[in-house]
This record gives sequence, C-alpha cells and structure tokens, in this order.
Amino acid sequence: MEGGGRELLLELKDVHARVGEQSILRGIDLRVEAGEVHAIMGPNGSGKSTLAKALAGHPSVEITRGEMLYRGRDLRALKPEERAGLGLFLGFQYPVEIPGVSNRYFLRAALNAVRRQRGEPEVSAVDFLALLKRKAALLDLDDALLIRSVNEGFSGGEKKRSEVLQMVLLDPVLAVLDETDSGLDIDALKVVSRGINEQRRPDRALVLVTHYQRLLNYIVPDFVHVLSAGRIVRQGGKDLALELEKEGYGPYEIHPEPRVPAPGRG
Amino acid sequence: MSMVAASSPSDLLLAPLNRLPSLGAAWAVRLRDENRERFARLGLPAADDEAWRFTNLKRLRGTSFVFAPEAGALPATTIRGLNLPECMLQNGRAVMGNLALPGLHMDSLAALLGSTPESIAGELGAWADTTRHRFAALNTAHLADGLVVGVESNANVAVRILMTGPAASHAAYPRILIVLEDGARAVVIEDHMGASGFTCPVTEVHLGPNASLQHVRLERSGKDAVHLGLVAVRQERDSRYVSHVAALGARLGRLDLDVSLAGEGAECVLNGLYMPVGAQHVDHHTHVSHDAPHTNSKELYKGVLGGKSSAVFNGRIVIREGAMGVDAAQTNNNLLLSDQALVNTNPELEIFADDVKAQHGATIGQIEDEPLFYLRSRGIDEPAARRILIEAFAGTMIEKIGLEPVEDLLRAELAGRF
Repeated sequence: MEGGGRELLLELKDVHARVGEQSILRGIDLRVEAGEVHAIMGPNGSGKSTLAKALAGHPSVEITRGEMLYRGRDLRALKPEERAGLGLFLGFQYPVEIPGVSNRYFLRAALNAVRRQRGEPEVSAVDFLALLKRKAALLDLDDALLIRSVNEGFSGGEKKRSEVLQMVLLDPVLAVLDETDSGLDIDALKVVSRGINEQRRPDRALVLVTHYQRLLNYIVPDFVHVLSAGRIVRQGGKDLALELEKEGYGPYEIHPEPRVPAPGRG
Repeated sequence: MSMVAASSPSDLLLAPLNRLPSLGAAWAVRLRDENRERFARLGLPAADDEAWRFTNLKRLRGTSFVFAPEAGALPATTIRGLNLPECMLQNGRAVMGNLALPGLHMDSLAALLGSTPESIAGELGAWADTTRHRFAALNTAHLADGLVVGVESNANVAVRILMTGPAASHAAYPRILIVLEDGARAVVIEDHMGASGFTCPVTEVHLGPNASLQHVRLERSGKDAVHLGLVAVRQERDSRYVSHVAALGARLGRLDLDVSLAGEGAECVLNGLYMPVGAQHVDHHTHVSHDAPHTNSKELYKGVLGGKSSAVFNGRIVIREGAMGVDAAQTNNNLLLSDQALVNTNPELEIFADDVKAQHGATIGQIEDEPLFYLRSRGIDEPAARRILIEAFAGTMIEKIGLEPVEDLLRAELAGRF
C-alpha cells in the first residue's frame, strides 16, 4: 500500500464474526490509511454489511476472533458512542426511523455529544440552525425534513442524503458508508456523491460498502476489495470495480455449503 | 356481600350523616341518600369482580380514611406560563369558587344548591352511572360541595380547576359538573395535585349540540395517595369532546372514563398517558358508547412503566343497534422500562350495528435495539439515547395537548422520572 507516513486509521487482522449462530466474517484483513478511499464490494450475503456493523459496534455482531484496531485502539473495547466520538462514522444501509424525535433535535444532540467527547464546546441552538441550513443546502435537503421525525416517511433518497448530512455534521475521521448508493436514482446519486467527494481530505478516509460499481463512477476509490463468503478474496485498484461490472459477481457468489468452521487463513 | 358487618370497609368509608351539610334541594338529598344506600349495598369490589381483577384495593381496605374537614390548608401551585382563570377545590370544597367571565359561570355546588338548584336539576347525577361505578356512588353519597362550570351558547372560554387535598388518612369526594350549551367551546384543565389520602372524584360533562370541550385531566397526587375517579360525558348532536388524561401521581390510581355519544355526528378523542414508577399502580377503564348513528371515537392511550410499577388499560367500545356509520378506533401502546413492570391491556368491543368500522390494537414492548444503536452510533451515550426514545414515545401524546405550559410541565415530569 502507498501513502507511507500517513496515519493508519483502521487495521483489521483475521477478523471473524457471527450474527446469532451464523458465522459471517471468516478472517478479514484490511488496512485503511488517512486520505484513502476504499470500496468493499461483493455479492449479497458476502458479509459486507456485517463488516460495517462490526466496525460501528452493532450489538448483533459478535467478534469471535481477530483484532480490530482504530487509530491504534482496540475497537472492541469501545462503545458505539465512543467510536463516534473518536471520529468513526457509519452510514446505515437502512437508516432507522425514530417517530417522535425531530431530525433537528437529534442532529444537534448528536453533534453536541461528539463535541463533548472531543473536548469541544457545545454549539448553541442559534449557531446550530445556521450550520444545519448551510449543510442541508449542499445536499439539496428540504428544510421540512429537518423538522420531521428522524427518517420517518423519508424517501429512500432522502434517507441516504440525510445519512450524508449526519456525516458532514459529525466531521468523522473514518466514514464507513454502507450501501449509501442503493435505492438512489441517478440524480440523487450525483448529489450524494458530490456530498461525499467534498468530504475527501488528506486526514480522513472513506470506506464505501457497495454492491454496485455505479457509485464508483462518481467517487473514485484508491482500493477495491472483493468480499466473498466472509473473506476478502481479491484486491485491486479502481479498475477492479470496472472488471466486476463487466464480469459480474459470478465467481464470488456463495455456493451453498455446510456450516463448518472456516479454516484459518494461515 | 349481603351480610355487611358494621365495621366493614365500606361502612368505614361512609361518613356519618351528621358530618354532611344539609342540601338545598329535595332531589339532591334524594340523590345523596340513594347513593348512600347503594354504596352500603355494593361495598368494595369482591375478589372475583371482573372490573377490578387487576387492581388490588388492599391499600384502600387496609387504611381507615376520615372524611376530610372543610378547609385543607394546602398550597395551590400555578402552572408556569399558564395564564387562565382559576377556581379551586380543597378537599372537595370550593374555596375559590365563584368566577364570572363573559359566557362563563363557575359556582360552588353548595351555593348553587342553596340558591338555584333547579339550574342543575337533571344534570347533576344524571350522567355518572352509579349502578356501574360503586366509587361514583360513594362520591355521590357525600354530596356536599364542588364546582359547577357553565358555558353559555357560542361562548369560547378556558379555565383551570385546581383540586388539592386530602391530607394523609383523609378522604375527599370532589364533584364537578361541566355543562356546555349549544355551540359553546371550552378548555377545562382539571388539575389534581397535592393529595396524600384518598380522593374519589367525579366529573360529569354534558355537551350540548355542536359544543366542543377540550378536557385536560392531570392526576399528580402524592406518592402514597389513592385516587379512584370517574369522568362521565354525555354528548349531544355534533358535539366534540377531546380528553387528555395524564396519570402521574398516586400509589394506586384508577380513572374510569365513560362517554356516551348520544347525538348523531358526535365525536370524541380520548388521549391518555400514564407513566408509573416505583410501586405505583395505575388503571384506566374507558367505556365509549356509540348510541347514535355517525358517531366517531378515536382513542389512544400510552404507558411508560418503570420499576415494579403496574398498569391496566381496559377499553370498551359499545356500538348500539341502529348506530350505523360509526367509526371507532382504539389503541393502547406500552413501553416497559423494567423487567419487573407489568401491563394488562384488554380491548372489549361490543357491536350490535351493521355498517360500522371498529378497530383496536395494543402493543407492549421495550426500547428497541435498532433505534438505540442508531442514536449511539451518532455519539449519544446509552442513557441519553434511552431518554430520547422514551421522550419520543410519550412526546407524541404530550404534543397532542396543544397547550404549551401543560406540555412543558409533562415533559419536565417525564425528564425527571426514568
């Protein structure tokens, strides 16, 4: 990998994880440095979303083996809220609807929560509104969505843009975006991609989890990883995504196989 | 129950006749006497009484309550930001009883029974069914004073009725009668607070044709209090009754809400929020009777339960024969914050008419993992995330009230509670 001298943000070593009784991740190795954009691709069921959830600390994902280091710290010892405070952001594939909590209230609570963790002063209601308006406009998000309950009744595209808005507000160091492109029409995809591209910085890394190559026309990755049956089976540059687009996931589809413990990677 | 011993709990609850004032009108004396006999006969509910199956009255049986004296010197408290004309009942007696504003009369019941009893004959005691509600019979058996709220035709008024007392070991039987004439519109806040003993209140409401009442009932008694109340509503043609019930206080609380949609086109909206903690028990029984065609009812009660608290929701909807075109909906949602909290929810639909819509639904759940994780993944710590979700659950009820000072009061209650 290139970019020597830049901060190593994420280091996964032989990560195994299961959800319930099912073993999903079977030995993931991944290194992400500041400034990089990684795409994690793969067929349905390959473990992409589980990997994203594992990074954010979703309680349904149990890490059974391996190491997960974020900026040198053991991720497993950190609560989800602490990971967020340290600059880890997960854009959800299926953003959760929370009736009764206004989006604006939620966003300010989140921003002030991470600011407190980072030792920064809280943002006043007035300053926050101005900030929010500015950021929402960048993503073509209707003001009305800010007053509505979190994600409630949002269209697919509105939910995804809202995730990107949260990312922009929380100013992460490492953003993992889980299928942020799925369910978007081409115009929405352009808006979302523009928003994400504006977030590219030398001191920040993005991990795009995606099923489709389409997103990578707009956000060009430095590295592409192909996930299959819980392992990264191929790695390459941006051209790999194009190849996958042409050839399809055929060779990487999971074939029904007995649930036996995965052999170690040796 | 036929052999009532002289020292039975029901006898103990009935104050000696000589403690009660004389009443101005013969019909009022009859009403009181009838209900004295009725309660003596009915007594406290037996162990197998279906309507009391999940509400244990041990606390009532085990304590002796003395009929509260005239004046309880309990402090009144304002609701911050709420600037409404107020009347006050202490221990059921009107102490700030008289208020006359354009279109509105508020009078002490005792005074009215002394001066112009005919003005409330046919109203007082007409809507509370004391054959079905033994504690309403007990209330009526102590008929002495209370408050009468009259709103003139086409007037638009808002008032707060503050109800305080009784102190520990005392019993009070507050009585309110609210009558809205044709086309009148009113907001009435019935605010029960500061009680430590046994409160057994009855509020009767009569809405004339096209009248509209928003009735906010706050029950915020002390933590050892017993509160067993009835609100009985009679609605004439095209009237609208919107109720917001919030149960916050009392160790043991029950409210029965009876609504008779007697005139065509009448409509009621019943909103309820209860949030017991510790060892509190709260019971809501609602009974909506669609007695006329094209009447609508929409009912939503929500409960948040902490500690070892328990709650009962029993919602009965009756659609009488011939009441076609009725639309009735009932929902009860409960959020359990502790493994030791308990809810019993029970819808009862009795439909004797065709061409009606009636639906009901009930849920009992805990804070869900996905919203909790979503909030935490944004940096909000778990206790704060839980608080946000609890407030969201209850907040949708609170914001229906539409009176900011009352909403603020309830939000503050909620914030400090769980």
